[in-house]
Amino acid sequence: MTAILGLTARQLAGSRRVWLVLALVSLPVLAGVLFRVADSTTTSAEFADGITASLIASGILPLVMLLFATSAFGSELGDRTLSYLVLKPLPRWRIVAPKLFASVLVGGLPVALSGALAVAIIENGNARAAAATGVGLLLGAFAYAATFTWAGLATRHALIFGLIYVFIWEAVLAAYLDGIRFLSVRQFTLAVVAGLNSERLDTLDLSLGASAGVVGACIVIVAFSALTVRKLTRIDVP
Amino acid sequence: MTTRPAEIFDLGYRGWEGQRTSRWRRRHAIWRDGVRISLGLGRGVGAKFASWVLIGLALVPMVVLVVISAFLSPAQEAADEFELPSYADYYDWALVPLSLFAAVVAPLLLCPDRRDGVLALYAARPITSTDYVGSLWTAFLTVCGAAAWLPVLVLFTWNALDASSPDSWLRDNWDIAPRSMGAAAAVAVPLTTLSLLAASFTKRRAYAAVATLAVLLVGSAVGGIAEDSFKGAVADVLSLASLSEVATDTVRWLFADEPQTPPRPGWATALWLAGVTLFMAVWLLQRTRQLVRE
Amino acid sequence: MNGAQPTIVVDSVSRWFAGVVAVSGVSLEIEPGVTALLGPNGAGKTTLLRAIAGLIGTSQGKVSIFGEPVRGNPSLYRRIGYMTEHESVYDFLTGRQFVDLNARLQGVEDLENAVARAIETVDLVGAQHRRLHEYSRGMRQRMRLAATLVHDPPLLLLDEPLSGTDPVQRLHLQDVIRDLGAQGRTIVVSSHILEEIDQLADRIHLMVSGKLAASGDYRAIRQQLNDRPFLVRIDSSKARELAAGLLAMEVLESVEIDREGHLRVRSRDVAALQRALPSVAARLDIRLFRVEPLDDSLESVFEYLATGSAT
Repeated sequence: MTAILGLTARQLAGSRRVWLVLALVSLPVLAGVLFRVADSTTTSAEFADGITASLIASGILPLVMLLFATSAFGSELGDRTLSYLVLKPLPRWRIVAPKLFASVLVGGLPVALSGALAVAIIENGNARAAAATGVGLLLGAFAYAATFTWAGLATRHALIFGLIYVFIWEAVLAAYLDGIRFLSVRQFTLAVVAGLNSERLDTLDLSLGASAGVVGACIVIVAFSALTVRKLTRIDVP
Repeated sequence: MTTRPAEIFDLGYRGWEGQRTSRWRRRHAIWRDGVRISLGLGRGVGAKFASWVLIGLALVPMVVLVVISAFLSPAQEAADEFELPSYADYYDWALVPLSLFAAVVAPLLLCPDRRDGVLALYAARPITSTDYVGSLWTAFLTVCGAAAWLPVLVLFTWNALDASSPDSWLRDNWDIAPRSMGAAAAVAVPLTTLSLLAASFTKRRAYAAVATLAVLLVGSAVGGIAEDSFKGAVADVLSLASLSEVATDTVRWLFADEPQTPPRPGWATALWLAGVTLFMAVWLLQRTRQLVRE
Repeated sequence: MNGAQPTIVVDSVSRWFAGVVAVSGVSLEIEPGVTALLGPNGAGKTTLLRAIAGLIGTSQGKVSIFGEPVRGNPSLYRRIGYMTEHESVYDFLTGRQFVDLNARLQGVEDLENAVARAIETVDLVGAQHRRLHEYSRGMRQRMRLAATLVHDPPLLLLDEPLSGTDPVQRLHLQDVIRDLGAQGRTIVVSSHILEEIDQLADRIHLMVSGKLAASGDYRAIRQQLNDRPFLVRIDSSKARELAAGLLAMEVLESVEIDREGHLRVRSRDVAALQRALPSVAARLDIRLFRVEPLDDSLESVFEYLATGSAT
C-alpha cells in the first residue's frame, strides 16, 4: 500500500501544481500577518472566523481537494495506467485507500496546516483555536477527498460535477435552503471546528452541532470510499 | 520478351503552387474551430454538457424573471411588488456561471492541442503564434461575450416592450444598448484572458480550471475580508485583488449605477481592470510563443 | 499435448459496447506453450484478451483461468502477467523503479533479484536508471515486458508486445518469448503483423470481425480450407506442354502462364498433383526446375479468411 501511496503522491505533486498549492496555502498565513501588522476594523475572533469560513473552508480547501482527489484516479484513467494497479493480487480497497490518503497528504494537510498557522498568528498563539481549525479542516479534507476520488473514477465529468457541488450546491443553495446544511461538507467542517473550540466561529451562524458534523463527515467518507471500491471492481479498465 | 524503351517518372512530393488563401481566412478557420469547441458542437452530448448548462445558468434566470414579470404585468399590484433586477445587479449573479464556463471550457481550446502534440503542426503552417492564440481568444470571447450580453438584451427588450410607449422609451434609453455591450465586454474579456492564460500553463484541463477559479475565488474572498476587516488604504488595495468585484464595479460604472465600494471612482476601477487584462493578454501571448517553439 | 486442464477456458464469450459487437460467441481453450491470437485491426483481439484478463466483463459467456473465474478475483493475478496494448507508463519513474513498483504490488519475495533478473531478460540493464520518458518506444515496450514477468507468472497475456520495436529488438523479444514458452508457461500473444508471429507460435486463433474464424496450426488450417484450390508455381523447360499434359490428367482447376513463362496451376488435391507431376514430366521429357506452393503461408490464409475472397 505504501507503494501506491508514494506513487500517487509523486503523480499529484507535479511541479506546477505545487506552486499553485503553495500560493494558495500562503494566503491565509499572509492574511494573518497582515492582520497583526495593519489597522483592522474587526476583532481577532471575527477575522479568524472570516479567514476560516470564507477563505479556506469555502474556497481554498474544496478547490485544492477537487484538484488532487479527482486526479487520483482521473489521471490514471486518462493516461491508461490504471491497469498496472488493477492487475495485481490486491483487494480493491488496498488500491483505493492509498489514493485517498495521498490526496489528503499532498493537498489537504498543507491547507489544514496553513489554516492552523493563520489562526495561531491571528489569535496570538492560541494553540487550542489553531488545533481546532487544523483538525476540522483535515476532517473536511478527508470528506472532500472521498467524494472527489469517487467522482474521478466514476465519471469523465468529475471536475464539472465537483465544481457545481462546491460553487452552486454548497455556496449558493446552502445559503438559501436550510435543509441542505445537512448535506454539505463545508458545514461539517465548520461544525467540527466550532465543536472542538467553542470560541471559534461564534460569529457565524452554524445550524449544525459538532457531533452532527463529525458523524456527517464520517458517513460521507465511509460511503464514498465504499462506492469507489465497488466502482473499481466493476469498471472497464482502459 | 522485348523491352520497350520507356521511362516512368517519380514525381515525389511537390509543394502546392496554386493559390493560397489570405491570412484572414486562416484566422477565420481557427476562430470557427474555437467557437465550435466552446459550444461543444460536432461532438457528442457530453461535450456540450458543460457549455450549455453553464451558459443556460447565465441566461435562463433572466428569461424566467422576464416571463414572471410578463405574467404579472396585468395585475398592477403584483407587478409593482415584483421588481426585475437592474442591468448591473444581474451581473452579480451571472458572473458565477460565466466564471465557471470560462474556467472549464476555455482550456478545451488550448490544452488538448498541447496534450496531443499538435502545436508543432500549427507551427509548421504559415500561422503565427499571435494569429493562433488571437483567433482562439476571439473565438472564446465571441461565445462568452454573447452569453454575457444575451441576458441583458432580453431584459432590455422586455423593458422596451413593457413601457407604455416603446418608441419614446427607446429614444430615452438607447444608450443602454452600447453600455450593455461594454458591460458584457468588461466581464467576458478578463474571464477569457484569465482562463486562456491558465490553460497555457498546463496540459491538463482540470488544473487550468482550478487555477482560474482559484484566482477568481480566492481574490474574491480576499476582497471580502479586506472590506470587512480593514480600513483605509489597506482595504482599498486588497479589494483590487478581487477580479470579480472589480468587474462588477466596472459594470455598475458603465450603467451609471451606484458602486458598491465607493473607495475609488468608477473610471479608476475600470482602468485597473483594463490594465490587469492587458497584462494577462501580453503574458498569454508570450506564453504561446514559448509553447509553439517547444 | 498432455491431458492436463487447459490454462484458459473461454466459453461462448460475447462482448458488446453500446451497439458495437466487439466479440461474438468465441469459445476456445489455451494450453501451455505459445499461442497466437491473430486478426486484422478491429477484429476483437484486444477486447477478448481484456475479457480473459478480467479487465472488462463479458456480456455473455464465461472465462476461467486455472479453473477459476477471473473477474472480481484479484488473487489470481499473482499467476498472471498482462501487458496491455497501451504504451503508457509512469513517465516520471526510472525503468528500474517501474519494474520494482510492479514487483512490490505483486508481493514478490526477494525483490532485488527478481527485478534484476527481469531487467536482464529484456536486456536493459544499461538504461535502467534513466527515467521512462527518456526511453524510445522499443525500450519502453521491453521495460513493460520486464514489469510483466517480474513475478514469474505461469501465464502471460501479451497484447501486441512487439509493436514499436525495431528488427533487432523484435528478434530478441521473440527469443525471450519462445524461451518462456519452452519453460512450460502459457503465453498468449496477440498481433496483426504476421511475420512476427509465424516463427513464434505453435497454435494460432484467427479472429475476424469479433468471431473466431479458425484455430490450430496454420498449415493445417490451410489444408482444411479445401473449398479453395492451392496455387502452385512450376518452373520447367517446356511450360505449355507440361500444362497440356497436366490438364489431361484432371488434377488441375486452372492453369496460367505468367510473364516470365512459368506455370501457375490451381489444384484442389495437392497429393494427386504431387503424384502426377513427375510422371507427366518424365513421359513428356520435361525438366522440372522448381515446384513451389504459393499460398501455403499464414498471409494467404489470413487474407482469405479476413477478406472472405480468393485471390
